[in-house]
Amino acid sequence: MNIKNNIKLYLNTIYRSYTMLLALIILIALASILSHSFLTVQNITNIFRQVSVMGCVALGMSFVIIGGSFDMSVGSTVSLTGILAISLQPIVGVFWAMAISLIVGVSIGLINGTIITSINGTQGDSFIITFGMLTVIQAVALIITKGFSVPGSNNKSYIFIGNGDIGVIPFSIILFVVSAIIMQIFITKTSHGRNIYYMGANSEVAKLIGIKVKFYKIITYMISGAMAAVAGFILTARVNGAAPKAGVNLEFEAVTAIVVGGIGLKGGEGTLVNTIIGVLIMGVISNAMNIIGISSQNQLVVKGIILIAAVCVDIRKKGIMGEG
Amino acid sequence: MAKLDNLLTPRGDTMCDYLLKIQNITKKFPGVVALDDVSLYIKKGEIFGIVGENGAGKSTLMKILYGVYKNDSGQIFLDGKELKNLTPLIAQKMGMSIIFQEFNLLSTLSISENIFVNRLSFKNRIFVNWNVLNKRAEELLESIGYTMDVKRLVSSLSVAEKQMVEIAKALSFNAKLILMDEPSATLTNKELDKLFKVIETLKKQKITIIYISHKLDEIFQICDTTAIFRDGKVVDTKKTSLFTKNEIIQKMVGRTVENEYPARTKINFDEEVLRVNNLAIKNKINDISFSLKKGEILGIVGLVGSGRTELVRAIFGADKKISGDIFINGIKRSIKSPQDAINLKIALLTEDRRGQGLFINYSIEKNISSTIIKKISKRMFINTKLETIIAKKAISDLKIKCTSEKQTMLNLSGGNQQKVVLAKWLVSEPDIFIMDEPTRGIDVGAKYEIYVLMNSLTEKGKSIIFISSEIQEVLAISDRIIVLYGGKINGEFQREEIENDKIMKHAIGQ
Amino acid sequence: MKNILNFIKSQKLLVVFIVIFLASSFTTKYFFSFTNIINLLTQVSTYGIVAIGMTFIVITGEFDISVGSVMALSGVVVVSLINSYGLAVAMLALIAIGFIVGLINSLLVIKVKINSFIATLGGMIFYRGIAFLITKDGTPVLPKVEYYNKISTGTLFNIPFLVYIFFIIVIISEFILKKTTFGRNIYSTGCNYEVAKFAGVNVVFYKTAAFIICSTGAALAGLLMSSRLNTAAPIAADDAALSALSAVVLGGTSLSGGTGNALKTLVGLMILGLIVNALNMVGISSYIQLAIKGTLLILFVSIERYFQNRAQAVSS
Repeated sequence: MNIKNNIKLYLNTIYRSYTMLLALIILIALASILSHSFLTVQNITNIFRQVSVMGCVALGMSFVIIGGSFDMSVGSTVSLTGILAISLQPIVGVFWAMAISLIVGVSIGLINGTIITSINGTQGDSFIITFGMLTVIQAVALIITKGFSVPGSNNKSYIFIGNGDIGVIPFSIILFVVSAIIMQIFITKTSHGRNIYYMGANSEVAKLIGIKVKFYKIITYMISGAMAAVAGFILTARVNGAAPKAGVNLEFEAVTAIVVGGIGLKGGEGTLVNTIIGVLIMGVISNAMNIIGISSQNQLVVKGIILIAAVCVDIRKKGIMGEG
Repeated sequence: MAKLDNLLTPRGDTMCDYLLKIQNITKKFPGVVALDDVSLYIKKGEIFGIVGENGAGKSTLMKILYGVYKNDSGQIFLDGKELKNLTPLIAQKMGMSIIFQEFNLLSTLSISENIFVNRLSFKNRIFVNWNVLNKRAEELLESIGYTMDVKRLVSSLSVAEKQMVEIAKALSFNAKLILMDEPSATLTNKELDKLFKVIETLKKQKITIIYISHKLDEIFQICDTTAIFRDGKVVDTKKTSLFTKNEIIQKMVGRTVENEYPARTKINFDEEVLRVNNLAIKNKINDISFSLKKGEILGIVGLVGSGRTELVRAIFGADKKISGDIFINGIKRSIKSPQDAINLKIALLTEDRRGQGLFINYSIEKNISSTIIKKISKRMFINTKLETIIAKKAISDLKIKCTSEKQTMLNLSGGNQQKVVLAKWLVSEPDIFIMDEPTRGIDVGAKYEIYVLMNSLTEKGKSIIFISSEIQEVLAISDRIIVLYGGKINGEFQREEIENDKIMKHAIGQ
Repeated sequence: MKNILNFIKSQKLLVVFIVIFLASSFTTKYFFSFTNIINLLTQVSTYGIVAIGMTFIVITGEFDISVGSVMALSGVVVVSLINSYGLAVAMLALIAIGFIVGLINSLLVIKVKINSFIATLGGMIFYRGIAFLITKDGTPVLPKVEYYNKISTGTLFNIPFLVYIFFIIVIISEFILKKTTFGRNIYSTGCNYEVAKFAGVNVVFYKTAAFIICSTGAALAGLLMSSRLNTAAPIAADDAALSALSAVVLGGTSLSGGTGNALKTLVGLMILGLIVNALNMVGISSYIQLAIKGTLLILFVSIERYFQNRAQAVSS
């Protein structure tokens, strides 16, 4: 009985963590059958380059979602930090431009977190507050640039972030993977990470066992803001230029990837492995659509459906597991 | 069919006397038989009491009658008509209304709207005639002796007033039968008297009442007939006057009362571990002072609303206090958050286990280690081996029934869930335990184990503040009792002077 | 001090209104002119219709952030159809869009039990994608019939039709919400879904109806906007959800459901409109206005929650 139950539990865990991996493999197989140009080294590096921006955003947002909240403001944070990183370079140099942008990203997280914790905000409140924040930051980006794009940087090391390779591997993807590993270790192996899980699972219980929930909630938002800034660097370095609306819909794509990867929106569950799988799935889908020749705006139709479908699956899965 | 009815009728009356007949109802949930072949026969115009411990099947039966659950087998007849495919609305239209402990009211809407919800229109079905609506609502409330401004929002009403709105709602359906699920649980004594008067009025109007309670005094006071539930079965049904109190208790718990509580022996306590001076919480608690000694179990008695939960939450730093000092081991301390309290070796077991005590979707192990996650980490990194060892030890120490330490809390019984809550605090090794309703909703066996555990904790020099709604329980295992009423201390008793009636009197403010 | 705080709490809208009104009249002497007032009302009307629809859905305790995309989609579809098939077909399409979108949203929220924010976020992206798909890479569609522009801009007593349409919608909505069983059941549904369900209220119907009302309102607003601008672009109205939600919250409708009404939303809209109007007059860019709208949404949600928390701390 005991062993049988354990096996069942184990199988369930496997089922939950590997279904999406299986989906990814099937998707890759399908895409390579459909197009010969899919499974080439060049295209694979291309996919990685493309997903690294959204991937970084998704990593940061995963922290917020595991912590039981939501961050809609990341898309415009990417735009704003990208603009700052580019346009401050001639004035203060690359290092300080990036440092300031990073600080701005973290501060946006700090503001989000502070507002939400000070009103004892529910998850629903965090939607609305960061939705408002999305608009405010977007507006700031537009005000700074007066609505125009900013031409790129001359600095080679900055451009390297988006376009450089180490060996055959793009630097941006190394940045993404290294961040992912550090963040994964942090959230699954450390006491702080565990406290974020406890907070996401039930913040009232967490509060009553002495976890500083307000502190951790703000931290998750700050991490999300920081990762949005990193995404801003990669994006502006890759296209060598910044636009005030460059990050539009990124928050949506990141949520989609996170949910597709199998992190429930209720909070307190999933790891960054889920996020990475989700990001790769979305990357492969976008790439496949690009190869077929669907414009990025028309891809929205497909992506909208994927988000909804993924949430449906997430909810159904929980229904089967007997969780309310 | 009629023949069969006669055969099944236990009291030999003719079948037409019965308003409600519940015949051979069985309801199974995965792993439990919640109702096992339950039959009840309820006469027109009588007040029918149902008693039983938590989990005896009372609420399952209510939910079947309300159409929330479907019975696996058996039949229900109301006025001779079989009720099939029940929904709450059909039940109400047939004349059967249920008043739950958690009221089914719409708090942002007015009283009159709540009474006539979904039936707001009297002429056509489209427009609301507010004048008629309000007038009828007033009339209904007056018929049970209440005058209220029916335009008031329900969110502004007291518990007792909400109860009256529910009764008025039932009457608006021309209810023949009203079921009340522990209506007295949150009422003051005065409000309870008023409720009893309303029930008498209803009885005069030939309305049948099913009164569910575990307060035996109330059952003896108003019920004509009483049924006792235990483990999903009806153990006995007869005229209330033919029962004795002890008989009911024995039949409820299924064994004699004497061995319900373990004996407490120690009587002398000297060392003061906690002292609360002049504690006040806005609108809740007024100037409360008391102390807790080493090795002592201090019982706190009070009705819901007396401020007992608020008091301990404030001591624990979970809620804000206006004023008051707290001394731990004689030193004045400032406790502003649960962290502060935990650092001072205080633990709080909350009354709401699911919402405030447990990560219900997490494993036993993760729940137990949650209080000591920092302690079992080295330079931030969690020692997961140690985590498992600690969990395993706690599971065997407390005899928690589970398949492994990785099992999720969701599948554990109430008693085992409570043991996990205890375990999670035990591993953090506090000196002072505050236990708010630690035995609520768990079975008798698990209760006993928790009492034993409390005893052994005090033997190890720990101190316990023990809150419970079951006065019997507090009396049996506390060394000293303070009684709260209306946010103030209204009496303090040593073990030897503890008497049930005396304490109850103080708890209701007399 | 406490009294002042309590006054602001109970009459916060009035206070805000007075402050902005005074500030506006100081900034320019043209503020009280007829043209300016009509201007203000015209500006408010399109998103106003969306906000009234949003009021229904917020009363049921849900959100719909896909309204902006629905406006864009409906504008593009209606203009394309009116060019080739005439008004009747276009109107049918408009109603179909509102109906289908509302139905999809309610299905996801009620049956699949997805959080309405996420469900409509997916929809928001999806419907805009379709608008792009129809227009072939985002080129705006221009109406070829002359009367189309008149639907919004034609005037009666120097007041544009658009304003009449908006006020008729406000009045009808207010009447429905206050005086009909349909309206009251929408409140019941939003106040407590389970309780209303057990009381026999057909909660699925009323929530679905609210979603349909909301998206149909958005579809109609899409038509009126494209008529006013005489063009329909798939990128249009991307701040509609924000503006509508701001107006609803500003008006004092609680996001937790069960309270609020159309008149409150109207007041919220007028305040937002006054602010935008004043900013326009002193020549502040639309970008700053966007920032202000976002800030106001955050501010008012926070204030509402703050007072709610305080009330709970006192009562429970």
